[in-house]
Amino acid sequence: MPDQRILLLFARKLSGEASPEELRELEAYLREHPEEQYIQEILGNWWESGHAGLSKPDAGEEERFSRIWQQASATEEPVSDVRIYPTPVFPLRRNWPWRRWVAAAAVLAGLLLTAYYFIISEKTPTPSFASTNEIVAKKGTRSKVLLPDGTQVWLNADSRLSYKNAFGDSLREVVLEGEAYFDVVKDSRRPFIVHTSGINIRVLGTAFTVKSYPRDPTIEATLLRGLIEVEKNNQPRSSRILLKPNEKLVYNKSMNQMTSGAIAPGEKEDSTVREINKPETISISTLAVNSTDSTRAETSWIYGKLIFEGESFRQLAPQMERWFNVKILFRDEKAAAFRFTGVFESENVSDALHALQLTAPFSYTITGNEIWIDKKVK
Amino acid sequence: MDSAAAHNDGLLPPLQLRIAAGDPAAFRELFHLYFHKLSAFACSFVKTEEVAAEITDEIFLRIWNNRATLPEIGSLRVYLYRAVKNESLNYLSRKAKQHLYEPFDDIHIRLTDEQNPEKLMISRELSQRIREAVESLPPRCKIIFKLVKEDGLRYQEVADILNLSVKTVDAQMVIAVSRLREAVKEDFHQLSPKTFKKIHD
Repeated sequence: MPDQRILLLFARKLSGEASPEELRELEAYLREHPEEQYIQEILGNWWESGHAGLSKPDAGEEERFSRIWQQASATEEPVSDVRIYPTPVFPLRRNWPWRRWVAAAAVLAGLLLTAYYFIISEKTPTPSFASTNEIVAKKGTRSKVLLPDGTQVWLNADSRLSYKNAFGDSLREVVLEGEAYFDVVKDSRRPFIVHTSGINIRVLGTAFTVKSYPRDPTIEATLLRGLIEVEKNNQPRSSRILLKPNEKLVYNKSMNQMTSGAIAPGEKEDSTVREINKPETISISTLAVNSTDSTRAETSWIYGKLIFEGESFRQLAPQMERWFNVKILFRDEKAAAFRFTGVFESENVSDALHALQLTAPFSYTITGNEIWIDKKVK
Repeated sequence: MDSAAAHNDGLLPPLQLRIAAGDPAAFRELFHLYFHKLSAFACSFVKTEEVAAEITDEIFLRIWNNRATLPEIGSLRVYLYRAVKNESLNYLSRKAKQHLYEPFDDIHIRLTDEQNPEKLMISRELSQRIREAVESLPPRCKIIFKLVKEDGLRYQEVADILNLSVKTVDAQMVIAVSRLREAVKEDFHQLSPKTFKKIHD
């Protein structure tokens, strides 16, 4: 057994730490001890071989880098979900003047900022790493994004927004899947266009929301300020509709067989819903004037509220699924047919379900992420 | 032993400056150079690969977001390992709801899979024996050994990363190497003349 000194020199030699003098000292020893030399040679080979194995690139590593790069280079603002303390939910009977309640609640609630979480991923990494930027708000989260031109976008739960790296060169184009509120910076030279699966929305500087979830039967656009122009994306230019403030356009995806007939620009009318030309495809309605952004379903989510008006439990379920990141399943058809009006601001899904139980008889069981709705247990 | 740049670390200072200047290609290069090593290092603390990878992601993000301060960092490599270690300990502390400090008794180090023993001109048995010797090293010794051998870090760097003295790293490496030596020696004495000949061919 060589002494500690020799082992120390050998360890340093393997580690690349040995000085030339130390190497000479070790060599001198080994020349006198062939067996030791043989052992050290084997270990030396073994040591070196490990390094070669390290450099093999991992298949998923580039993809991983793309995601990080996306996150690093996105110009998102690290903000701001509006999370509300567990206020009572307001499940109200139909025909109840619920807006007053909601408005009161909104005043009370104020805006509480809280951490939120979003992930960002890139679909097509290229040498510039940034040909397409994609921002994703996962289920149960909302996020706010600042686009390169200064336009602000609030993304609702389970939504993704993407834009090309060339964003803003001549056009400002984004693609939306899900729901978003846009506050677009005015720039008449570079129109801002939102592409969805069914319609394109062209704006010059305005605030509006778009709701285009893949599994929803409709696509909605609601204008709050300014002027937007909506066209079907299979018939650009021939089918433009102008939308004025407080108007909401609903595009029905399942009836997507538009004739080439022109669609008259919408005009604000007192009637709540005015259908144009091809009623099944596109309709325009006017929002109630006395409501504010935080109290109408189209925009309340920006303020951390999920508002619903006379919707069946089955219609409400997908919204709740996105909002709370849960899966809602019905064991009982009768329960699925209950209708609710109200607003959620509460933090967790069991608070919300509990509130719904106050107006309708049903029971629920939560198993992990899944919530089963059943008839009321006697 | 304090000149880190001399030891296959020569790539880093230019990378560091290029990243500081906002060069994405340099950032990517750094990522591919260190992601694997750093997440393995994180994994030795947090035990879960996914968590380790996320911690490592976080550190890279931080590097990019604070790239303006990169020129001030003496050794980017040490900085990366230290950041990953601290973040891993933070994670464990949060999970355990208590402060953890250098928990060397509870680390799990996985060594990189080796190459084909035939290529090394050693028998499969010997390869296995060496591996077992490494695996059975005490945790602190093992992590030092891994950082030196597999990650190619200098003693000084390992000392800086783990908050140890260089002397300790030196001594721990002696322990590791003498255990390996014993493993080889045992094998050597068990060799039949035939095997011995084969090795020397």
